Amino acid sequence: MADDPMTSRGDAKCETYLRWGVVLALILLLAFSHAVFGQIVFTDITRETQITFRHTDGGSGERYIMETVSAGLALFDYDRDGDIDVYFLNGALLKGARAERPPTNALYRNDGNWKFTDVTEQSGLGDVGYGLGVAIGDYDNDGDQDVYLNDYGPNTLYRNNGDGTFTDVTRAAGVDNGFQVGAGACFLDMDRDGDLDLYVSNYLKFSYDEHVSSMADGYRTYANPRNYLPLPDTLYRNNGDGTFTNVTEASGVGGHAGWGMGIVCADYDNDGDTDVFVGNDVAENFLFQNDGRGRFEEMGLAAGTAYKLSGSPSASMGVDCGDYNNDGLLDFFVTSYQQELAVLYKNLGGGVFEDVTMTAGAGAGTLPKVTWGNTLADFDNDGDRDIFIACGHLQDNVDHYDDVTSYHQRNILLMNTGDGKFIDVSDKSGAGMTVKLSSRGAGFDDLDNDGDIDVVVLNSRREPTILRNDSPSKGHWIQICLQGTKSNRGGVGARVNVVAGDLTLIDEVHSGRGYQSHYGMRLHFGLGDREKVDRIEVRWIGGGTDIFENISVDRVVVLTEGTSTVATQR
Amino acid sequence: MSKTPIAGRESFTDNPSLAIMMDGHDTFVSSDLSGTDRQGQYLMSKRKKIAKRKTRDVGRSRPAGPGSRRRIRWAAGLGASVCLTVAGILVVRYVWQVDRQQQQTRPSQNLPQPPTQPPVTPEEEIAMLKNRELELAQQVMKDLPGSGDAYILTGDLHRRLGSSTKAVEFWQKGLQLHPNRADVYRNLGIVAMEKGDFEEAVSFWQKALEINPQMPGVHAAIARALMGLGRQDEAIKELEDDVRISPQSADSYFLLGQAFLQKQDYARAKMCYERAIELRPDHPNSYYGLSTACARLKEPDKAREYRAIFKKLRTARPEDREYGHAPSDDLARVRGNLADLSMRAAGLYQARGNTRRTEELLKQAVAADPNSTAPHKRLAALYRMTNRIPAALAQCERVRQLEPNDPTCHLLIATLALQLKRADRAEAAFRNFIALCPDQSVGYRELAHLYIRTNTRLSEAEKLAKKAVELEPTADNYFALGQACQKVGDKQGALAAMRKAVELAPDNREYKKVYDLIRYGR
Repeated sequence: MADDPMTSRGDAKCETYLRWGVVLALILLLAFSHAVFGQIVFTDITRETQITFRHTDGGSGERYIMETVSAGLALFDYDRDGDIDVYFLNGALLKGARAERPPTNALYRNDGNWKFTDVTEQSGLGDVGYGLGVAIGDYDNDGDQDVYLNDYGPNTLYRNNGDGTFTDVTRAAGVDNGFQVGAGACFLDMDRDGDLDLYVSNYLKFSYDEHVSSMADGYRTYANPRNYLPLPDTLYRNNGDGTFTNVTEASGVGGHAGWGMGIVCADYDNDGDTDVFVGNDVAENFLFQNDGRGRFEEMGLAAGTAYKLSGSPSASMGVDCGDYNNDGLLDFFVTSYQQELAVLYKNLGGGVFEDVTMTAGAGAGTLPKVTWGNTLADFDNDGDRDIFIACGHLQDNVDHYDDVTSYHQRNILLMNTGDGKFIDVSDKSGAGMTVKLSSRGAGFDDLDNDGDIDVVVLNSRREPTILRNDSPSKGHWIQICLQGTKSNRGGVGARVNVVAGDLTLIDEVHSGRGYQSHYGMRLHFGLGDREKVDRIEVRWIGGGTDIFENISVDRVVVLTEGTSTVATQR
Repeated sequence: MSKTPIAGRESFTDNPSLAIMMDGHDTFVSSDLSGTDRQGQYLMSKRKKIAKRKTRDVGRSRPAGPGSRRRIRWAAGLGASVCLTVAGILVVRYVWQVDRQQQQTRPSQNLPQPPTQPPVTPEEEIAMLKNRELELAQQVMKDLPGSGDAYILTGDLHRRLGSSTKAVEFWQKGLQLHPNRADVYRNLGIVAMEKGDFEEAVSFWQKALEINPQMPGVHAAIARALMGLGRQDEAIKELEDDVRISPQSADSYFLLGQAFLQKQDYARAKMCYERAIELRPDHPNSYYGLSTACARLKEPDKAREYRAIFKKLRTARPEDREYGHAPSDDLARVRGNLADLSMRAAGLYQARGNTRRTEELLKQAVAADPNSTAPHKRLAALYRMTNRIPAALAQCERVRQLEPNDPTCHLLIATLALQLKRADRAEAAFRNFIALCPDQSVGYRELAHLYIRTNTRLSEAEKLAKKAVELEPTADNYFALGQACQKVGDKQGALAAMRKAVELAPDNREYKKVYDLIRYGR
């Protein structure tokens, strides 16, 4: 049978259409993938900020263990001017160390437009203790943010006087915690009585006499924490009159000794009270389940957060939480040591977690690094939470004996692909991600009030790194400040549920999180292309639930307990 | 049979498995003859020597007269003078030879020399030892140009010194010359994995398996990397292949359990963890996995039970209680490293027949880590191979001082002592061996042979041989018993034991001959 010329012409046409179709599909696929994955760009603007802080670990060459774990930082609005200010912790001179001027913590006021002014001296926050961890909270419910420092040595509580200055009220409050090597700290309302209690993580028992000198392949190194005795953490109940009572034993916390590091308080079992996740170095993590009255039961092993999937403990460093898969449950993300993956614990509901690090790709890039400050935050405003990890080895001479790793390391950025998985975009996210230092604490907040999350990283023995988020994403967003009336003023522990079209997001207000740091009290939600928020539900700790509806986006709103009105922060 | 030979004397030290036990080095395996065949040859040669000596004795039995006595005295005096002169010459020559040997064994000029100034701190000493390692590797590269082994040794050294980048360069060069070194591919995979490059690690490990499909641990390593890449299905396939090859691998079942957990296939995860526990009941992490699987399968009681076991086992692990090490430990480790490297290098020279350099390096290993037995054992093997028995014995004695509970060392000492005709030392060594290994027949048998040979404590020899038979009714042991019985005049017993030896080893002609000798009274 001869070929029908009409059919042949039809086939040729068909083939042409097919070719064009494939090309079009490819273009669409590329565009779609860009839209889905977006792009996150960070620019290092440390110099522009005029921040001159330089961290010191106070070392004299003897390699005392606390040098390796200093320090965290805090991002908070100390002067209530609507800008997030930056507070860096610093080491202090250890035995045998000398300096012309003793190092101090440093407070930088955000003047807007990426200019910061050093207000350490006038604020009274130039603490000279050996800074390790920090938590911010309005412990006296007077409407401004107070500062608690968890140091090596006695801790300090600074009351905010409301005029840009702070007063040391440690002795009156009774929260100095003796003379320990501290770590993270958190304010939480453990008994739902409307004031903030205080959880203080303790790292280990140290004295100069007990100092352990260690070596690795002929190089003097910092000793493993297991050379020192672990300690139980400390829990203070707020008496509501400016004083606290040590309830470590009565609360059930005192029965568990560990090498405490980063901590975060969160209602992991969604039962309306605040629980505590303690990341322990070189041992199992603790997950203290609150009975609602401030008594805690350690549930880490049963809940699946004590160990990794393999059943081995991590050398946990920083701990943060967030709902990475938007299923309405708070997940935990924990950083760790070299040759360990940072661990993502997915909340399965019912108080049970599963280590999904490998299936989710949440440990990408972490194996050769020591990882510290961390967060689950939506950097590209696409409606899901990405991961930032601050990295840096703790052995300052590791380059001499192990070139698989290095003392100075680049930080890691993992982008959420929206399907419960992460991809490592560290190499594609701007010059800000190429900075190579030995990072420790990190804070994440919108420093320029432009609707995306910026990053501040404290680097051991060096200047900090300030990363401006220059992502090209056009996603909408909303930021929420909570103001408690019956419950604590800062809304610490409140659960916020945001519904925008098909998207439902949750978060809680945390005081103290990540690696011994504090950030993010102004909750940030990326919304993608949703142009309005249909509903915000706030469940206050110890209070009721408020609902706010039809809220316009791309702004910072203030939600006050017991009202349904939405105020815009200036 | 007044001069009964020591049957089986050589059988234990030249036994390949024993030799490998001693130091894991092939040079210990000096012959491919079986112990029993060698016994036969030894018996035959000894019998010929005895016959010759008897003939000479018969010729000397003629009595001498009084006139000839004076001549005999003169002759004796002259003979004595000549003997003394010859002996003097021999002594001088021996001293000269020993001195020459010592000169030969002194380190050559191009060897790394210890610094003139002794190191002060542990750090300085460690730095010096590491430098010596690097110098040694350079020397090996120089002496053995074009040797893939030298490249690989140097790569291994850099890896240990923390320069993985350099290690990879040397390993790659080594692979160009020895492309079938699966171990090098395995090490390349480990470095890639540590750097977090899981894809590259998988690729190297797959090459290792292409060369050596049975290489232990590599399937599991690939599976770990694949899991890290989120490719659980491929990891499962890899591990299923592994358990087919190594059905007793608890590690693979454990990892398989992990992979199934991640796939949320909890029933199969549970089965794998159960199998892992069957194979290794003290592995806490398998109980952790099992408890997780049970919890997901809504078996809360079992989950709780397994969690409790996990916690108990975990608490008992010493590594969870102790951590870190003191500077002095680190120094000891680095000394050990130099000794290991010297021994490896010695192996390369020995393979090329350079005994002198081998000996130098082994001595260097001894100097670096005097408390390690391995270099002494290697030196002992080298001295045995080169027939320097007193030196070999000295090395074995040093091993004994360092590791008095090492039974093989006592056996080797006994063998060497016998070669040097030091029956008392051999006896003590056999007794030490028996004390350490009372359930092994070899010690009893060989000690029995020693008594039979020296014609002492014959009833004790019989008891020992009986004990050997009681522990292991082998042909060798029956043969020893037969000889012992014959020595104490128990012909029936001797015949019965010899018959049994022949029954058990019908191809052993020597047993048959000795049996016939006893049976027919010849």
